[in-house]
Amino acid sequence: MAILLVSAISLVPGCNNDSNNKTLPPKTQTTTGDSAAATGNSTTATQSRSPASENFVTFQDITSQAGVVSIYDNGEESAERSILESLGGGVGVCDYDMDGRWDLFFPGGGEIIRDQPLPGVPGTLWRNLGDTKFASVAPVAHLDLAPYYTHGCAMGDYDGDGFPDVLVTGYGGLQLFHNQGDGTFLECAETSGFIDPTWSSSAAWGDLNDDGQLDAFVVHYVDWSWQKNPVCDAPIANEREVCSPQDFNPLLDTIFFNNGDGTFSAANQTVGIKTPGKGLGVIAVDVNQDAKLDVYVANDTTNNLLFMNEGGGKFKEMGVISGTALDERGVANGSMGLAVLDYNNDLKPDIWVTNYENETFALYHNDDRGMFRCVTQSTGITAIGSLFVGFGTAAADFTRSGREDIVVSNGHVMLYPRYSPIEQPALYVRNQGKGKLERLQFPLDDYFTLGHRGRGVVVADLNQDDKLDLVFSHVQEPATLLKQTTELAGNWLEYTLVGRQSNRDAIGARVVVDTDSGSMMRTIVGGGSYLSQNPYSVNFGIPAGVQVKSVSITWPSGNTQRINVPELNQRAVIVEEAIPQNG
Amino acid sequence: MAKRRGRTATHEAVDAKPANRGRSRLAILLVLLASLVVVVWLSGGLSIIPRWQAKQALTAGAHGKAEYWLGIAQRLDRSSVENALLAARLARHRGDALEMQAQLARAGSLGADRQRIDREEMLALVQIGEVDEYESEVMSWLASPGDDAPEICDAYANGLAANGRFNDAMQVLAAWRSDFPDDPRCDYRIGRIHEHQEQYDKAEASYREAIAKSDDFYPAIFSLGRVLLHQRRADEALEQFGRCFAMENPQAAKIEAATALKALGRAEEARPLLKEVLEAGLELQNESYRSVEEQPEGFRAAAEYGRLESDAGNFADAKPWLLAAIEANPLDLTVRYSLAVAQRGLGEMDDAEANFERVRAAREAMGAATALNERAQANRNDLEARYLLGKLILENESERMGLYWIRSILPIDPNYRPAHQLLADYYAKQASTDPRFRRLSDYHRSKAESPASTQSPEE
Repeated sequence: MAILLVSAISLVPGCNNDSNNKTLPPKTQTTTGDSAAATGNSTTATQSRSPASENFVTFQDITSQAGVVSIYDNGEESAERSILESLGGGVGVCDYDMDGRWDLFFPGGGEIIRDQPLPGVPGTLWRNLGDTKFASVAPVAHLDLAPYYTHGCAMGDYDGDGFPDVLVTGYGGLQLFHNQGDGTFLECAETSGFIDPTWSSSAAWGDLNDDGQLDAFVVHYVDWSWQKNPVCDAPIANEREVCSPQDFNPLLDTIFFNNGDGTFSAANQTVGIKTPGKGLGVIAVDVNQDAKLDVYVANDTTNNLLFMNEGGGKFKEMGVISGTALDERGVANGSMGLAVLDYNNDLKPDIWVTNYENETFALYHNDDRGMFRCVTQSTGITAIGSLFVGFGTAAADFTRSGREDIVVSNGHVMLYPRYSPIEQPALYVRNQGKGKLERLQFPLDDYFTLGHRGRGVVVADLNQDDKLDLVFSHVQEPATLLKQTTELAGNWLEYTLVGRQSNRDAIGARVVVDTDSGSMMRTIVGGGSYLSQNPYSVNFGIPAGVQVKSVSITWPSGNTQRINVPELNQRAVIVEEAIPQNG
Repeated sequence: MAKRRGRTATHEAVDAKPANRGRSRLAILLVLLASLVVVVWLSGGLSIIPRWQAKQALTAGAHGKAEYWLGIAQRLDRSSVENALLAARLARHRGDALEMQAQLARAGSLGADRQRIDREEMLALVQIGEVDEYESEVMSWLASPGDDAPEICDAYANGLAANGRFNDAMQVLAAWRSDFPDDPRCDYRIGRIHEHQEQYDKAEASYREAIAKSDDFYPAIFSLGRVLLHQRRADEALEQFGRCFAMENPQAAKIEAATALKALGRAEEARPLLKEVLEAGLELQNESYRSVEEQPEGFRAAAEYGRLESDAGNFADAKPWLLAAIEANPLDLTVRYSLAVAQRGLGEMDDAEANFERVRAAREAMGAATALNERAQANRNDLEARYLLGKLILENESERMGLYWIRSILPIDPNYRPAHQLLADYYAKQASTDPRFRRLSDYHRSKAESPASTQSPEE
């Protein structure tokens, strides 16, 4: 018995099941999502770089070379710590003088003076001279007016004269700059009916009532004023922090319907825009492909809203039931930036949303008929990490892989953030195919590694070298132009569409390229990114060895058009073929 | 030769005597040993060693191992009071109140000291946060704790923390650590408090300290994984949960490893892990969580598996598991949301809309939580904010967190009537699952109806 006891003491009990001692499968190499990566130029970020992703795509900062100097001034030097300071400003791309080159516009911001109306800082307009040179032309173009504190811009040819007009959002009022076609603009918000003293952030142009003319969906943030300006304490004694959106009430968004005579009529509740939110981003896109443009609004800490177009300028909010209002846990996020892409080439538009820190960016997979599923986890987006405060974003096939990658501009809104730095690196998220996305790492001195107070971002081939470049706007920091320098194989297609029965910018048009290895879809989106405007053109990368068979266009009017065996590697303008109206 | 033979014979004779003596001595020794074994057997002493092993295993959170050794101890001594008390303690650690009560009753019938039985019962209540009624006695136990010092400190610190008395809890833990510097549980418990206070860096450091003291102290390893996962450091979390696969019941670790794998976009690796846990069943899952001091609210494996399939668009596969998970915890809004997505995908629009609406309404109600939390943080004595926040969470999100906020009122105002009223009602509803709750309900009812009770501003 004693022997038995002694033996028993040294024995491991038999209840420990060996089958439980399995080890996990070996970890596959993933790009970093760790906290250090959010700090910008960290050693960890470099050490965890994925070898497979090295030099996959490269960019060169050409801001100085281009001569563009634009610094968004949020007025923070007043030290009022107003929530107004947190939004920042965007960037818009359009060819305002129709010379075939993309020009740039940056809203200027404003001053913050306690208990006073907020004066604006003039925006800057940069005319693309070619050869990577830009000239400042805002004063000449009369685009330097600054009656209000400004944030965003949306370009759209609302009168169909062929020249893009500019809508500028902000606090105190909207500004509508009508392009007069001679290199100058005329501010006409008041006479056009764009009267909106509430705090507007982003705006999207699109034909929202199927009359062939561009309307504008203007998103509002929160009900702030000097009378509703609480004091929020910083974690440091005797310091103030910018208040959070939870301290303010939400606002209704507004549609400005185009009357066709240069004037607009504002509406919201009467057309189904009844749900208030804290809006920061907006896209106008036909999510259920019923030839009616729907509107999706990214709200900060309240449900994102999906206004489904029921025709005749009437909308029904279906965010929750569509699966786009909340994240995969059913929680409303601090959503800010938006992009539309078809990440899995199933020819349906998916929605990408950038969110606040401690949340993950969200990818809503379009299941069909306007129903979405949040695939943030299964696509690997969660692994990017959650310490970024994401703002502007854009999706494009930068590398002619046949798949759209994603770029995100990050930067904190708080002055004393708890978890992550104020200046944050931008992200390049590579679409690996098969429904997987990964963050790419860049060298230590790269724009994508260094910290910025990022806000807007847009994509365009600025220097016409057939590669897609980037423009980032920041807060209290010069905007940055990045020229893509990747050695690219393959081919490309780029189309600018001109509507005739449809709105002239063809916002809502759907373009499908059929190749011998599958099809790809792009849609012309109103709004997008954050406080910013991308060009109204579609760009397709065609991988090396892939043959393009045809291109088909579905116009917002419902007309369809087909191009057999299109010519590669050229920018083409396609005009809508007129179909006689019935009756 | 003969002499030699004679000498030899003499020697043989001399040599034979010790051999005989040795055999005799051995026989005597065996008889004595057998007698000793019989005496020890009759006195129950043979169960000391396996009971000690069981205690060690219990301390390490190895409940199955503890049960194994305790089983041996009980077979060796079926009438041991110590064994019965240890069985009660094991049941308490496992969260099995009915078994604990049965073992305590058995200990009583075997002649256990009433004070020791009361102590076990009170430790059970103190551990879940019912400090108010028993604090003076706990303090007196700590003055002369005997072998139970770590057990008392652990339960008391846990109870204090459950009442939001973090400074008091930290003092108890500091004293415990001072007396038992090698005990990983102090650092572990400190880590839990830091984690609750969302001080994740400190929590991580405390858990790592605990692990440095005992590299197979799985509650700390598991908690480290949980903190890392919460911070979206999924790859690091996965490593810690992987270490926990060596636990005797690693179901909880497998579930959390699967969660980490999902976060890394490796759903195809998460799926077989979750299937394994689902095959093992709910009881084994919950037992595993309790062994790392987690109280799972619901059927977590079913929830994670259902969500994984729903995220993948496999709605028919997802739905039964999500239904099982929601049945286990109707307050789990994350699961309800995934269920709504699956139902919508299956074309069951009425059910989907109903569940979407429940999520929306609950989230909307919870929208007031932030402001109430800020009120409570800004002013510790804002009892109304604490009460409303607790009630809100209890009704919409989590019983455990709701009770935390309600209980946090009583250290500030032990007579706050709405809190006692709510706790009395809550425990009355739970009485069928745990007889202790009837007693708690009666206690809080009496406090609520006492003339000394204080009213809320609304009253």
